[in-house]
Amino acid sequence: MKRRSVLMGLGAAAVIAAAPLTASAAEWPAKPITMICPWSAGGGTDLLLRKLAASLAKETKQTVTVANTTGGGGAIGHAAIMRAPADGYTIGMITFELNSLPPQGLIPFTWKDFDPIMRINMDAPALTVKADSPINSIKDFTDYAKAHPDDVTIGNSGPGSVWHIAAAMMADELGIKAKYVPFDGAAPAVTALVGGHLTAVSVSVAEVRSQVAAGNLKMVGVMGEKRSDLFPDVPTFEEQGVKASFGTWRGIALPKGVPAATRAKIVKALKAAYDDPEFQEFAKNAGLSLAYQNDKDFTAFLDKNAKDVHRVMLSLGLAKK
Amino acid sequence: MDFALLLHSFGNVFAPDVMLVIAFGVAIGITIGALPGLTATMGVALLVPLTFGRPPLESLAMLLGLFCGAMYGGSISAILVRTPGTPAAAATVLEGYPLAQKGQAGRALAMALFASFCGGLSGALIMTFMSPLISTVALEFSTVEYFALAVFGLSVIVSISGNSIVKGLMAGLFGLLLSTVGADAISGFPRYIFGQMDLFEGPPFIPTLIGLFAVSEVLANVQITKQIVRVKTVVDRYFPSWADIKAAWVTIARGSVIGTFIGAIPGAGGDIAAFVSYGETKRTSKHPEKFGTGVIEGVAASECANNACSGGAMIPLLSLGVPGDAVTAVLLGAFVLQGLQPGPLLYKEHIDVVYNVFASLIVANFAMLIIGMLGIRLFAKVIMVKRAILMPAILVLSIVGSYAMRGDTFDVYVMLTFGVVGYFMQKHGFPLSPILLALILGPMAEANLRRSLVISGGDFSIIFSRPIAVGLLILAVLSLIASVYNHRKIQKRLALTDGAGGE
Amino acid sequence: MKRGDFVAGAIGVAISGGALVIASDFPADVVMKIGPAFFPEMLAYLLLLCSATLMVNAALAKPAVVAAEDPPPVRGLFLDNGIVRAMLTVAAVLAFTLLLRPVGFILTSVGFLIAMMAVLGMRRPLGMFGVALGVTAGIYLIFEKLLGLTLPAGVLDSILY
Repeated sequence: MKRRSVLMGLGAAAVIAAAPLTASAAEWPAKPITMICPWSAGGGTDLLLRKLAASLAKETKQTVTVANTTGGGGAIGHAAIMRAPADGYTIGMITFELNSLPPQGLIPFTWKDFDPIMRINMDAPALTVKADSPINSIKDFTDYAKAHPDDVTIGNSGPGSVWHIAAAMMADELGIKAKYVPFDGAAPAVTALVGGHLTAVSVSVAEVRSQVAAGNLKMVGVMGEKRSDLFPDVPTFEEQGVKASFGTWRGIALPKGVPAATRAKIVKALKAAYDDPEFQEFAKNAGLSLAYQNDKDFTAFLDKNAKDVHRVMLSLGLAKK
Repeated sequence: MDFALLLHSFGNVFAPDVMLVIAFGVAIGITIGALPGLTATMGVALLVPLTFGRPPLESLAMLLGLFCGAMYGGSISAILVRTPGTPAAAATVLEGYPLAQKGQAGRALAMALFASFCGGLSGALIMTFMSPLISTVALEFSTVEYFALAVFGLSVIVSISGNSIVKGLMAGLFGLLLSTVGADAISGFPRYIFGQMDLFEGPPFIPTLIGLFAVSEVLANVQITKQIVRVKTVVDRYFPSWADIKAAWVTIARGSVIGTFIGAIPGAGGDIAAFVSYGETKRTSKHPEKFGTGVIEGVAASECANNACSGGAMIPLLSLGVPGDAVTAVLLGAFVLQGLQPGPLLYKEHIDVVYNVFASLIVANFAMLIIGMLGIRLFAKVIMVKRAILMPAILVLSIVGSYAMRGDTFDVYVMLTFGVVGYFMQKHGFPLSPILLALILGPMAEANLRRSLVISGGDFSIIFSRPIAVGLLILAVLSLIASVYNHRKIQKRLALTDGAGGE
Repeated sequence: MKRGDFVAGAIGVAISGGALVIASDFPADVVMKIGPAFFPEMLAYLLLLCSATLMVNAALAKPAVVAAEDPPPVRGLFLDNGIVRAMLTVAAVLAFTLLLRPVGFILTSVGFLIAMMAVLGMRRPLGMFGVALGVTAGIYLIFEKLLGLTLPAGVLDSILY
């Protein structure tokens, strides 16, 4: 009796020990999946990923957990994704900072060290001013800035952040001089603008939408490829004769070296999760503009984006080399 | 103010299922608040996804209940095991823990609950009746006013310095220096990070807090080798005694106003409010020399202010769409997910939602009072747990609480380091709270001063160009002078009472 | 002379000195006049001043009335020595942190709790195991299940789900 239970115990132990081996050989996904979020729990990126993870869990009938590996302005989390085992059970969310950190010499790797799977969303900044401001178009803004060269302040979400770069790109294109005021995230910058302490902000449409809807602020132009779905009557920069387009993005990537068969399954499962109506509705309510790209397009996009960002940061004096 | 509508909203909130989710939210909130490392902000953030797809009233009521509960919950661990469950409860440690050590944990817990309830209710009522007025003042705060407010907050350091102002200042300056670690908020230049990317965003706040208070205390506690005479803890009350209420009512009234106002200023939250309220209470007290040894008004001051903050922080959120603190920033997301845009538009198009929020928060405070009273006996049991079980359990909670936020063991090392630093500082008579206050206010002071200078193009006169800022700076100087004067008085009295005057 | 205060002051001087040296390498800011070095330098000078004051006071002070120290360890058993206990606690936390990822939260936590309870003088193995399991399970449920925050599964990875 006793011997039997010992044997059974050993057997069980052998099965447990063998499980990880059999898991990778069997059909993906044979065990729980972890998704790494390089930003902290409760933030916009985290909420989006958690929702996608829920849809992926539904799709794959597997547990999908989200691990927040944050710090270093996104550097730590991206490094964790890059170094994760390439067995298809660790999937990461990559964000714009993957392209803005390398020029600053803050991370020793680039997007090329990842295997991009899909782009999820792409959010453009908008030049936004107070609702009662006399500025109504990009041209008004340029004229105002040229008339008051020492008084134009543009709030952004942090030094070297995506919206800081956006503002600099904007000013460069318009040929004006402005003071970039970095805040700790977009919300306080928007608040300061509502209080009338800034000339404008250059943060995303989603981040100003509530104040614009409330009638406290107004958008002068959207710096994206097309108009925002939320505010279809605000023209883009390009429509106002200024060639400037920019935006932040989020996407999914794998560490390099995931076997092709597994990778194909992941691509398919993630696309299905993305198409889940629940996820789509969530993204719409959160004000995100979904902008799906498959792995190939996303790779090409990353390449161009990285070069653009590097160039602007160099001209801003934010890039090291 | 539309009283018929308010009445109607109370009707909505009193529906059984809404009451149930409020109670659920409050209970979870108290738990999250009491656990070190889990803050109100994080609790709300993590439960927002749960509310997706539920009706707005239910979702918001639950989150508001959680907000309320967590603000109170932080005091439980602060009083019982000297670990502020949330940063907002850090000031509660100062008087709450000494009370527990004297065997009066029940008294402190009852006062914390009562003060939380009074503060929370006042905040909710002020929100209900005065939102538009207060929100216009809040918007006047530009970078200059924030700088002035931070300086005013820092002037409290003298009040929480303990017996030696020099040591208190050293602790505060050490904290301020620590707050400069990480990427500079204006230029982005990484300062004092020694090549550690983990320090890029500064020393992680929650692990530092847990280390300084919880771990340092455990390290001191495990050294007690002799059989300790168990302090007899009497938990015979759910409600403070009449004498305690009489002693604390002025404090509670003042704390409610301070808390609501600081809560209403975007970017300043319960932690600052609690310290300012505590500092003011000590400064105006008739017996300031007793502070630090377990004064019941001290517990009331901080707990009532941090709960009043929740109502205050909702004011700019509802009327301007601008969150008043970190928790309401997450709540803003919850509103948006419900398809609601807080701000003037909400008042115009969904005034029913606004009134439902008023009613929910008021009801949530009553729920907190009831659930809190039911729980007091249970909470207080913690202190009866054998030391050999309690200390290891606190350590595991501290480690997990430090780890979970970023999923990074680096943060646990930070916690341990500050545990050791805190232990030695404590042993040599250095107060720890100034470090905390400095870590909260340092970045606010520096970033806003320099932001102001970016706007003015380097012209320092901008600081004195705005009346509210000048007023706050004058207040800071006055408060500093008064505290130093007060300190002298305290030293004299202490010298009279017990000769040496302690360490 | 108060030795503790003197040493504390010296540490303060060292910290401020170090902060000043490092800050001298921070880039200047021509536009705003005050750059990344302004605040740290100002704070370091103030800390230097306070630390020096403390050192002078400590040096001038009469030898402190010997404060009631913790009574010296009476018994020989080394675990009864308070300092050793504190050092063991620090070591245990370090071990916990090192093992958290590879071994996983549940096993590490149970092991840590049992070890710490032993250090603090508990001697009932069954009770200790029960308590350790209970505390670990409670924390695990709150963090993993209620809040969805992942704790490392470690070696239990394949059987936990």
